[in-house]
Amino acid sequence: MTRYLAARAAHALLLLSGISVLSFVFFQLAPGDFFSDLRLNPSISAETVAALRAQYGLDQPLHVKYFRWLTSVAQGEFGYSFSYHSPAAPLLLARAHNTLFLTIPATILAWLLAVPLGTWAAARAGEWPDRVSAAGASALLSVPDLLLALGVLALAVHTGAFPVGGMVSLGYEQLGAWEKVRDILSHAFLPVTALALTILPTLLRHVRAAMVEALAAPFVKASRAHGLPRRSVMRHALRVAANPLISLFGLTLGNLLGASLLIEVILSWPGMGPLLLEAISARDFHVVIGAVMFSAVAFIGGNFAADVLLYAADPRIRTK
Amino acid sequence: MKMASRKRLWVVLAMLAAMHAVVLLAGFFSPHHPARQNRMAPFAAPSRLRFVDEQGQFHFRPFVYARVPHPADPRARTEARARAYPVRFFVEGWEYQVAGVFRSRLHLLGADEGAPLFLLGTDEYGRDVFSRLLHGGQISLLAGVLAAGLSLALGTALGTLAGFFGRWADAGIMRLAELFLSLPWVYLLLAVRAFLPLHISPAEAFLLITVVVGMIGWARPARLVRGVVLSAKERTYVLAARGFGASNFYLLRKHILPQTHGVLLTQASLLIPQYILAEVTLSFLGLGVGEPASSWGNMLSSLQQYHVLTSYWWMFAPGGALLLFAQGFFLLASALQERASGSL
Amino acid sequence: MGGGCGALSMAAERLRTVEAAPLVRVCGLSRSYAQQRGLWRSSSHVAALRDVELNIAAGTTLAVVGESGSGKSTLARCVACLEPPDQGEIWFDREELSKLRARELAPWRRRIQMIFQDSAAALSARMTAAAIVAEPLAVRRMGDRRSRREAALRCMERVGLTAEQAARAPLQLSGGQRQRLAIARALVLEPQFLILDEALSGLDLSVQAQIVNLLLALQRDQGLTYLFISHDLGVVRHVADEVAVMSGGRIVERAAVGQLFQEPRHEHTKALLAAIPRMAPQPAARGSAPQ
Repeated sequence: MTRYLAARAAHALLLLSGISVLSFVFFQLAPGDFFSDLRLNPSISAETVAALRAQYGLDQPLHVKYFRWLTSVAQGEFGYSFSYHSPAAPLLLARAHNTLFLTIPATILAWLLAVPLGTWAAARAGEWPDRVSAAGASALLSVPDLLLALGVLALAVHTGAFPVGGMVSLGYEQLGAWEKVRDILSHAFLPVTALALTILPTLLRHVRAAMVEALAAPFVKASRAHGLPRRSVMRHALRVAANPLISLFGLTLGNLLGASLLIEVILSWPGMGPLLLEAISARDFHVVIGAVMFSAVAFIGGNFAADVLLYAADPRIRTK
Repeated sequence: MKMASRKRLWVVLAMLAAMHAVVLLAGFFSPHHPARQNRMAPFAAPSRLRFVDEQGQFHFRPFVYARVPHPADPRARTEARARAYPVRFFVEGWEYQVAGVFRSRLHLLGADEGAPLFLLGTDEYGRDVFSRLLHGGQISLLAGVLAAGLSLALGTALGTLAGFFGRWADAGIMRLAELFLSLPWVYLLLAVRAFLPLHISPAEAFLLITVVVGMIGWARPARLVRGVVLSAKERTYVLAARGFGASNFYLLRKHILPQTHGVLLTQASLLIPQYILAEVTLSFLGLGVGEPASSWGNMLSSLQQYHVLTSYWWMFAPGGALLLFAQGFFLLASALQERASGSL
Repeated sequence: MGGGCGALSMAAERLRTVEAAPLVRVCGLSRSYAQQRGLWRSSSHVAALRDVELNIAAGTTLAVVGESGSGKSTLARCVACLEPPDQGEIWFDREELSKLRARELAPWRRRIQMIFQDSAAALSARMTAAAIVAEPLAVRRMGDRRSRREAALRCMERVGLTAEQAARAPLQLSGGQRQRLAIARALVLEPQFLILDEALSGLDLSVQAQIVNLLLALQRDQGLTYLFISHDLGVVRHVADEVAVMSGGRIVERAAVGQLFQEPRHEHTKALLAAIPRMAPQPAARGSAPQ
């Protein structure tokens, strides 16, 4: 067991380092850096800019920059943010925390809806539950995330039921503990719903497909013929369908840091998305790379988790 | 079943073609020049086409009223019913180009001076949203199509190399593909965009986005093409062709690459809408095509302002257009996939 | 099967008259395949050919028989220069072919052609019959479109296909017609040496007989040399001048066809001979009741 997992872990690490190298190559290729805009200011001399560059090591060759960043990562700092004058890690972590606050509930919600609905649709394949849910999923799927978020925003504004944008209201500090929780939850409601709506359709489709395939297995017919009640047959079929579903789960895990970017921006939720955008505008490269690495870690980690789960769940993989 | 799916495919294709034709002939369908500002009428509501005039008489030719400030409330606007401006068809207007080649002055719709025809209202500078919508569509759609073309070309080239020559080429290219596939799409797009100059002209931005988006997405097509090439390579008739002296190039051209058409077509129907969306997203976030050019993305970005979002519903128009095209491509992809699985 | 005794005596005749150096000579041919067994374990090797030696005189037919897995197809591909051997030499008309590179091999590819077992797989489903037969000429850029088509139609005629069938796609033809088409394609370059890798397997008996007669006629008219690979000794009897028996990648016996059938020496040969289904009922033996 450990040999298989060690191989997958090594593979994951290799991918991560590949991504970091790729990012740094882009870094090097980019014209201009954080201090480029300073050059436009006539009161700052070129020597000052050059000195600033040297101070922050922006004039070093690629491998030097990369090594310094690696050591910074090892120290847990993930480079230095020029805009915020602090190591990048605390920034990234705080924002990641906020993003997860959205994506985890949204993912759970989506799964809680998709599994029963998909199973029901698969059990009644071809009949109205299946067709209605398929049509709904297709309709949702073909709506771009951008429009979905804008639509949710417009809805919020028109109904006025939920606060529009931000994570906390003004005067948050003065609220009592329970009211603080309520405040955050009311702000999170819209983004979480919108996010769940973007995740749901693909999930629903995959669950349905996996269940349809599982139900088509010969053992299902045999159990029904033996008179097994429908419920237990479904339970067994669910176990068979678990294989592709676990891989899917890994994929959704992997998207935990990436899926909500647009929604965060449009609904002004202070997550990784707006941070990335700010850093791009400010050319704060370490933050940009940090954000990319964080989401890459989530993605690759999600796949790795799926591998582990699959290994534990599917005896066929163990005997290979 | 096969007949029905074939028919559906053609219907969808026809619809999409018609929609694309309208966008291509944006100049013909736009009453106004997309950059023409009407500072006197910012955020004007869409003009109402009327057929029955004040006296209750029915006219075949629709007409519009001009909008003037309300006498009682200066912030509101009302229609000046004194003068009716008839809508004219096939009028001579401002000169435009079709696909950069044809020049014409013929427009489908137009009204006389003074009561400009705003089918979808105006934006903050008083520019006709309908005209901007059509012209912006050109940019967004073209970016999507070109970028998809680039991805498919790159993907085919690398996938063929990997599948045909095997061993090191295969291992290297597939590892690289895995790398690109592991990257979160949106983050990668933004990151790559981050590392490129920020303030560039719309034309440069367009080219840049197209190239960047196209170059990121080569991995999935490459994998699929590689699969096709691998299996085609082992076919007996390929071996037989080698037997009478066919070169690698001939084999690829005549026997192997034609097998990839199906895969490429399906991928195109999936990639084009994704890339259109990528351009729209980038422009929305201010990192793509900027003013004064219009793209659906930067037209939608004004919706982030509260007063626009609440009061001026016609600013959602690019969203509607995007939805329409997304639906169309989605249906196309479904139809193609159905056809592919049916013929297996 | 038609043409029984006649073919045997003709073969005997031919053997006596041949004296010239063999057209095809294979020396010490060996080839093995590596099998990957998982990421961490080293690959195991399966030897498909072990030290195979063969001679084929011009204008004659050498049959190679053996069970599945004896290495016959590998032998065919190596001799056709479609796969490189690990060791050994392949001599064709005093030239050693196995070490040549692709470009140097080109002129030889005209003179050696191969016919495969699965005719449906060996012919591209997207091309018409005439285009398939003309393809070798097109690949080698010989002649213009018109002359290529004429040559193709002539070859098709020679193998017994009509002009009407020239416009059909391979899948619209029967198995026997497809194999004829494959033969026509092989002939269009006017080769000297044909390798037939189980070309008759999968065809009906009557169709097999027709194709055998066609092959014999072509050999007679054009002086072709055949390497005929089969697992069916019954067919071999009517086609071959010499027979080589393969087992486990080696040649275990080699003799003139008449001798092999009458005095088989190796165990394996005897087993193969015993396995030929007989049409006539067995004479009652071992005291069993007569039919």
